[in-house]
Amino acid sequence: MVDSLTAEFDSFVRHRSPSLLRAAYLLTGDQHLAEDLVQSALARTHRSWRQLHDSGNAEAYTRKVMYHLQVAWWRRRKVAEVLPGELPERRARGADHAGASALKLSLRAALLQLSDKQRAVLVLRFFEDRTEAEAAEVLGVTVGTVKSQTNKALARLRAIAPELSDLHAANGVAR
Amino acid sequence: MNAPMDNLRFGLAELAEDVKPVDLRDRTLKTSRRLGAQRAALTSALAVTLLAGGAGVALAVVDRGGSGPVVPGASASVTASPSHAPSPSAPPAAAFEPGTVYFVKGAQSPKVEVYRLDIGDCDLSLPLKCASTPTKLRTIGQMSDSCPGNSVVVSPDGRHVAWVNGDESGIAGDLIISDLAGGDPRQVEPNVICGGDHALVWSADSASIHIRKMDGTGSVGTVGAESGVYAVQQQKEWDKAVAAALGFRGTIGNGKLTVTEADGSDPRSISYTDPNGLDAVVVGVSADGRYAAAGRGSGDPSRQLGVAAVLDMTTGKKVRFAVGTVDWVAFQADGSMVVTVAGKPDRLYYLDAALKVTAEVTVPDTLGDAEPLRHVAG
Repeated sequence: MVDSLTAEFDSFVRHRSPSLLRAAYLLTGDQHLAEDLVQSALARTHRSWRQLHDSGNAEAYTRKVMYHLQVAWWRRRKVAEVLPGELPERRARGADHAGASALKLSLRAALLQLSDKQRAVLVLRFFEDRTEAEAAEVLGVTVGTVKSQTNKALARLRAIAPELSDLHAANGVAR
Repeated sequence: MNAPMDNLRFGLAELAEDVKPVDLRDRTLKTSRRLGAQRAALTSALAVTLLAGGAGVALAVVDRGGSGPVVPGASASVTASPSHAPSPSAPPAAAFEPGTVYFVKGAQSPKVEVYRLDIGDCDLSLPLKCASTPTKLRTIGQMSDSCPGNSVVVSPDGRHVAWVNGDESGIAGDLIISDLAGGDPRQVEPNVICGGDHALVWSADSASIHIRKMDGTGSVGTVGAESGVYAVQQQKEWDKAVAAALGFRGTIGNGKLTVTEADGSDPRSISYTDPNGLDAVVVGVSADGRYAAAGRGSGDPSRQLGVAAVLDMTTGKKVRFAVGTVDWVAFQADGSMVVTVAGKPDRLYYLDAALKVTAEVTVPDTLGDAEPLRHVAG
């Protein structure tokens, strides 16, 4: 039974890590911090694996833990300590590869200018494609907070990185 | 034509692909073992405290869902309260009803301490000048999750204390309820979320606690203080119960602070933005609705007990107090209030409804770095 649980946890880590790392990278903006974040969330999942395995909620649990750990107080200053706060030099938009790379760098830097909560809301809403209600549930806040944080995050993106305007030109549509 | 925000979705997806896949299995298991060792060490340390006869309360690990005493024989050091009444010869004109103030100390430290401050021995001056006596009621061990420190709450009647002992998730854990007059702490409900400004909210009659669960379904509900039984509620029903417990509804956002009665009626708004541009909540409203206290802004789920400003809802202006900049306030049912002031950790002030000081209480050094949790009227 123990071997079976261990094997299933190993399989869970192997299959879900790539997806979790992608979201964690958007939340932290850094490969190593993303690994730390996912590792922390998975370790907590492991501590409760027997119950989670029975309930079938392991992935939802891991994601929720990951978002809370990132937004929560004991990690909140880590990104600011490690990552540069300056935006890369702005370049003219273009469809070429260099232009796309510059936009990506701009987006990464702009995300890091947001608060942890604002970044989490954007990732949940526009990367994980969660509804406002689902995002609120994951973060443990009200739908109103998700709406206000989304609006603030988009407004801040517009202010600090106007070159990204084509990435966030339209208003978000509540679902 | 793209759907709204599709470009942002695309940009995020592209950026996310920059992360390199890594095998996290070994690192995960190592971290898991470290978490387990920390938990074991914490339990051992608290058990030693208990055996030494201190005021600490050890919480042994019990089966999930179990209810009842956690550690047989755990004792709380509760001493007899000094007289709550002011001196018999105190001026009767002073509308001063001394109560009890509960403090939390070391909310982010490995040892969270809950204190009761009894007020008495007032002199004859106006305003009254009173001494006070602190009593340590509980020492709660906590790991780096800060769950107990962020969630600990004293019931409105001052009879119970409740907190969440963080579990492996680091963001939720077991709800513990304990009688402040003695008796064993009871572990009554698992998977209770400990983050946020109002992780645990006592009902006004101190009979139950409103909680949110970390159970994959995001359920909300109420736990009976005596029975320990959890009853799931619909979100709207729960919101209503929490508002009734707090005595108001309030929001801060989009440049406005809005408060209503607990049932949502009589909305009033004034212009307000957190001084640091962070998310803030309304932490209190006076009995007559004239004053509202805006909490300190926060960018994360940690609780902020203090206030950034007390606002006059009739003028929209920040209230200026003669005693200084108020950084914590407890509004009383008779319109009076109890406040602490920035830069004066050794003082507690009772103000009447006209904001006149009725009593100045000296707070012992022991509580110099503690935060007030609740005032219970005498």
